[in-house]
Amino acid sequence: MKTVLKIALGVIAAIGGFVDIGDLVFNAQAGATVGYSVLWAVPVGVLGIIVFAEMSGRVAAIAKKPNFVLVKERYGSDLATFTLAASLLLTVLTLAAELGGLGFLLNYFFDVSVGFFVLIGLIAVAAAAVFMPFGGIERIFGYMGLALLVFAVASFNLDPHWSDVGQGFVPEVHSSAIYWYFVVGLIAAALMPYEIYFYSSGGIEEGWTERDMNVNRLNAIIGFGLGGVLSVAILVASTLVLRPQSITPDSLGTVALVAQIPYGELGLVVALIGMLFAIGGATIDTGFSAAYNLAQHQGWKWGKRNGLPNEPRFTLSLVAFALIAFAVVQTGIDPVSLTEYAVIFSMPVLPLTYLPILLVADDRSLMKEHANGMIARTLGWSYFGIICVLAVAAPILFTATNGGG
Amino acid sequence: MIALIGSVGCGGDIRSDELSRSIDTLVSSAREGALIAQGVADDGTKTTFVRVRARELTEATDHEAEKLSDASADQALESDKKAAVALSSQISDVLGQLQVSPMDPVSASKVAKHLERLADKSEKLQRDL
Repeated sequence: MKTVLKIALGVIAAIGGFVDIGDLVFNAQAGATVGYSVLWAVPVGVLGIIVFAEMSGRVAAIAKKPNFVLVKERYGSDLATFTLAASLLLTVLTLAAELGGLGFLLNYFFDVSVGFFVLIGLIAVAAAAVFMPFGGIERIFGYMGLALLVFAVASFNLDPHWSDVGQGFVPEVHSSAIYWYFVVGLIAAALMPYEIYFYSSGGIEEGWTERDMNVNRLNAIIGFGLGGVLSVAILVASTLVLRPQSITPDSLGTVALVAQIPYGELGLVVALIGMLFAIGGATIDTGFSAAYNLAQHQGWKWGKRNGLPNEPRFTLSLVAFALIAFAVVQTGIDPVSLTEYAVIFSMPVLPLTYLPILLVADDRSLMKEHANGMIARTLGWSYFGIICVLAVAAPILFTATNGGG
Repeated sequence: MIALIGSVGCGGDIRSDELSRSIDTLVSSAREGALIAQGVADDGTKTTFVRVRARELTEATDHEAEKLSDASADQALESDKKAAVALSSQISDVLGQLQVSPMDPVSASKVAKHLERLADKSEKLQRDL
């Protein structure tokens, strides 16, 4: 019974915690710009994150090795350092985008200034990170993030042509660069590397063992899978509300407005709350991910499980990354643009992040009977191939489409 | 990466496709402003949201007007560019009314209609490029 409850709670938290600023921006922009035709990219990205999350959780539980310990073991010193530098840059950019998003969302409620609310948002998530246990953080931010289900309800209420929606799940041959830009963006938004850094290290923080294999598998499959449903809902609702009006969502406010159309003020407020908690949770995840990566690469003691004061270098790096991200946002840079850069340029780093997980999960001498079976191995290497292609295509499409414009 | 970032949105003589993209922004701002204003007219939105979002849209429209004003254009595009600048100023002014009176449903209804007309004019300008 306790295991069932643990799985249920984890799954619910994962649903609400899957969507971050990258998913919100790319799904809404894709719907507004190219409509249903790119829907198929969402399940492709979601299946990818399920495959690699499940694998990294399994490696964490059995080999007790988080992502950047694997990077250091499997790569030479130079490549490991390069991977660390690239991942830190992108994770801190993502952290800055999430923090900026918090500032904008809080300002929609209270109208003081974005800069002020970025500071308030930072203090709030820092307090949650310091004073709450991980389970509590995941549940509060995940459950409140479930308010994003308003987009799913709105999608039904707006009465789409379901045959057109269904057609969107069938990939098309297209010559349009903007179409492929959004395909790559949607897959990249689902596969953001910090999610794997956090999932893998989180498994070790929570003391996962062989007995937690089912929790890991179900969290990854059902949690990320249903999180993908939220992404589809945002894309569908944006197609119905924004596309006919030629509105390009350049702000989180525009995304929230989508829920106002069918449900008035209540829809708007529920959407803003869902976005606030989803992005708040992602802010904590990205902050910890950056600190995990650095500490694991340097061989420091890391994590929250033994108390942050007992791991001073890890804690200091967490504070430093938060302050760097805060400084980036205070320059006035638009968090939506920052998100687009972070999502697209995360693609070239993905192969370097995912290869060590794949190699270790395949290693029968280390993983014993929990090594990749035929399905996991086939999916893992197929996705690795897809990621390598997208790693090259993403920056080219970004340039060719003027950043999706 | 820095080079790629720098290559996006650089200035110089404005081309037809760049002017078209700027008009896209005007249309988008005007139509979103109209949706927000309609929410005020229907008493179905949140006042702080209306004020903040109207301000953001005004800033985005002003920024587009500044970019267009600063850009040089060849003779064929000059009059279209000036028309786009004029439209952006009008859209910005109307959005400003929404920002100032986010709780006035009567004024908001007029604002919504005005923004719709300006969006239509912007789309016509874009089609004629």
